[in-house]
Amino acid sequence: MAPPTAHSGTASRDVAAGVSVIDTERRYVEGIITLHDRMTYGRLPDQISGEPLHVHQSGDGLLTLAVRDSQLPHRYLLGLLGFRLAQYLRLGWVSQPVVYREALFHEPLRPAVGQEDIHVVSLCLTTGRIRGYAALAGSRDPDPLPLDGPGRTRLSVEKDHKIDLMGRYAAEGWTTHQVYEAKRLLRDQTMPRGELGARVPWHVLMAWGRALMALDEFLPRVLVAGDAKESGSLRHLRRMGFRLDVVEGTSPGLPETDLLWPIFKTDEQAKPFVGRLGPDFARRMDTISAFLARPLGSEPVGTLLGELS
Amino acid sequence: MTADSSTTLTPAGEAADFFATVRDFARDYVRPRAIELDRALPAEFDWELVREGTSIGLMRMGIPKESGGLGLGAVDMATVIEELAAADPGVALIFGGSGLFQTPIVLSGDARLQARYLAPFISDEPVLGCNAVTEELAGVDLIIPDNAIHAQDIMVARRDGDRYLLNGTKKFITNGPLASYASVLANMEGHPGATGLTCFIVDLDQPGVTRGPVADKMGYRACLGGELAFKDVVVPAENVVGGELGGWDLNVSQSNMCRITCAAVSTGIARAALEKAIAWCGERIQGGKKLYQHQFSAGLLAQMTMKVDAARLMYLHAAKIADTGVPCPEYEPAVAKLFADRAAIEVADAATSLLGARGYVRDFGMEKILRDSYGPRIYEGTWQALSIIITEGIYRSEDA
Repeated sequence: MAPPTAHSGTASRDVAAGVSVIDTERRYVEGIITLHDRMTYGRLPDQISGEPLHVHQSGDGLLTLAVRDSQLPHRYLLGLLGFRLAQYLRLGWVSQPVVYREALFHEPLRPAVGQEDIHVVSLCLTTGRIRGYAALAGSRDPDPLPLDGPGRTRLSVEKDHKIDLMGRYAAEGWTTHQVYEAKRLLRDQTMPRGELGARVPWHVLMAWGRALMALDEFLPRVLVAGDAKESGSLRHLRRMGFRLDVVEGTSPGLPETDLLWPIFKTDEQAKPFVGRLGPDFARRMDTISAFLARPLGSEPVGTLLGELS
Repeated sequence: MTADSSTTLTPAGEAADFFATVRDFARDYVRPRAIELDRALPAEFDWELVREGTSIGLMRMGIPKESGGLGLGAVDMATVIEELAAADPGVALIFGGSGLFQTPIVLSGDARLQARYLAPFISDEPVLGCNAVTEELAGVDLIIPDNAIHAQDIMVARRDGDRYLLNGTKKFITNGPLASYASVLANMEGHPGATGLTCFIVDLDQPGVTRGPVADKMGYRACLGGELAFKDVVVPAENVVGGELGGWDLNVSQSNMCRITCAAVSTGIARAALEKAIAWCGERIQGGKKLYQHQFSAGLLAQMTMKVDAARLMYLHAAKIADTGVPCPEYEPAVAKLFADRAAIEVADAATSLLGARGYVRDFGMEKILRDSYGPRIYEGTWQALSIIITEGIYRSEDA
């Protein structure tokens, strides 16, 4: 499969070697995509340490887990970050030249300071392939800081949209360690567009929501920040029961040296948001759980959307 | 009992947990299947065993930690291989052969090759690799640099723009019948003999690659070996390891490192034979006393134990040098392998004689060990080739 292109540079050629850089770059990227298409993670559930934040196994053959960074063996963490990279390559949302230049086979590891990231993974129990994924990125501040603290680490969404998203939520008892950034709600792009394919995002969102509930109980209280498209994830987040504050009119962008710069080259721009778990969040999670417990083929996902609207 | 590896094989730190897992795997999973694996047809290759081994880390022992591997050094790697070989050397070779594919990539320091070709081994999906060197007319001619000019009819690589075309046939390639990837040594067109050796990383599931019949080997039958034929196989230029004509240096470095683990395989075989002999001589009563209490049997057991212990100490010595210096030495691994290869045959032979009729009957597994013991003296340097390397090392020191 030839991935969509996201080239920033012009074609160059190492004349002495007779090697086209664009060709080697294309081969490298195709190789990385193919590599991740073949990778499986069937043993992952047995090899996480401690109790996952959430786990559910469904009749449609998927096992969905929400785990912290430190619960994953290193190779699985690299694998998950690799899945993210491969899906974004397929979608044309990452820079191929950067992937090639940096010799990436996974998204870069984040520094192990502050709050850990949480990974939600939906695995096919038969093949061990990842079918869906989402992340909640924790604060990189080593110690909790006020949300309007000048020294706090900015969220990716704040850097991308060049705004101070969290300062307005500064209040007694709220710190950067209670903020999680929603990232990479992904479905395996090679999956057929069938009913199971339509269910996968809901398995992931449900585990994602349950993980937030667990964190909300533990911390207590969490805020979720990020950016999403009105026609996409924002609708899902509202259906899930998030109370969302959406920021309009930003002009996001990244330099072409950044791995993720192509994501903002789009007709519909993602909008920054901050979400809190609404009063009926738990009930809505139960609704999603009940739907996903029904056998495959019994009711289309449209039924769930109706129940959540 | 000194022949028990636990007295000398005690990896420390993170490697200790891994070693304990491998020991359990070898004892509880591999050993009970060894005879069955030995008798299985090629079509019955045990992928489930590979899957289990992959899950505990045997496919990523030599891969750097930052790439998702275990980053084991020579000492830890060799001790693990001895443990596997004592259960079944064929199984040790399945994983060791894949490690041989990985080694040139690790040595290259090429981040892109590492990303593309090491990452598949961190998956749960079992994947095999192989290192394709030997050919119909060239074995030692691809190991002894002075022989290079005399090598005949070597696989040819021809540059064609930003790619190479490979043509030729490799023989007796461990994992060849099933591997997804190979590191292949081919001679650049226009260079006589094997003087233009170059190492290529090749995806084997592509047009032009043909897998020949599986070799009907005397031992190591759990691990399949066979022929790989290449007809105009396309390899992109970026898949050259160590540059054009860099194959010799790479192969010499790799062989030096590999001989340490080969010596560990031989030690494992010898140890398996010794364990069988010790068990039998401790229970069998003849002339009113146990066999080990008879002088000739005791003498044999003592000699066998000495050889196993010495073989282990020699490969550990070589491994420690390899772990603490660059480049890997030539002399110590060659000496360790030469000794261990001989020890495997002698200890297996002695054990077979001590077991009497049971040593000759297939169900007891002793005859399998005897057959396996003859394998190590062929690969990665025959005793003749090792002797040249060792004596050249001696005289190099004398001359210096």
